Amino acid sequence: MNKFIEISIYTFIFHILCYVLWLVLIVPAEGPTNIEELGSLVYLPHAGRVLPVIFFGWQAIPAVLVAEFLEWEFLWSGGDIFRGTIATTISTLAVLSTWFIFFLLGLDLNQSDVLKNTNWKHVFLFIFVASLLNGLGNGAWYASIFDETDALISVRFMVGDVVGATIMLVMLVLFYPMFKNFQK
Amino acid sequence: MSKVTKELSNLNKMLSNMHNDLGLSGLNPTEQYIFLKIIDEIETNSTCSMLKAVEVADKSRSTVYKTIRKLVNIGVLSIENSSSDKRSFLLKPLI
Repeated sequence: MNKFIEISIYTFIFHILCYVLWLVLIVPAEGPTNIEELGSLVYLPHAGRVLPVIFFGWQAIPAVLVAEFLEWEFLWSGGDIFRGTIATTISTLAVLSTWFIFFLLGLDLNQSDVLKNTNWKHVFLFIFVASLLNGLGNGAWYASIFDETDALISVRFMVGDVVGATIMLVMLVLFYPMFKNFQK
Repeated sequence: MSKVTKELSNLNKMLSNMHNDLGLSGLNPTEQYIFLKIIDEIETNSTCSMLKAVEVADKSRSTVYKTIRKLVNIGVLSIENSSSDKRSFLLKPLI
């Protein structure tokens, strides 16, 4: 199978899995979304964005974008204010920009000798930077459409992304022995 | 062979490193399950006593106590006296 297609399939399935887990476990606990409390504080799908880009590079981006559009279009049943096409694109661009910044600085986690994607602390650095850019981007976007500047939107997006990706990684680690057993 | 074997092996290595660094590498699936249940209880109710751990894990008392002792020994959990009830022992995650 073509490598790009294989990467896209893995990325798409993992992103959908993260999103469904978030819909089932986190969204009911957080309650209805309103403008004052925009942005989930435990956004698990952030792991679905960053992990494929960290391990597969830019080739994972199209699948992330398609998965996000389909999720918000067909799986999301909450209010319309929460997410739109532009916000989804900003989130994906934030991850792409992070990868590009790391690449330009010679810190690409796949190829550089400085940062390695096998070191979870380096992976967290990427997650943190991607969350920062996503928070700033979406904060600016929602500030422009609501005509109201609220730094808390950026902070909530950033904290939600970091916490969500961390929880998803910890869940992967806790279930890691099961994956190893599958290989036997 | 998959075209992305190298990338997947890197992911495998990262999870393995994280697993070791968090001190979880010596736990069997039952112990991991009990640990997960304890963490879940702490996340939900902000506290988990040893008795509650037996209840939520739905395993025998000796299995849960043995697991808690192991988790304490490897530095993943600590046991503290409850300030409200001195007879109760609370579990605190250290990672």
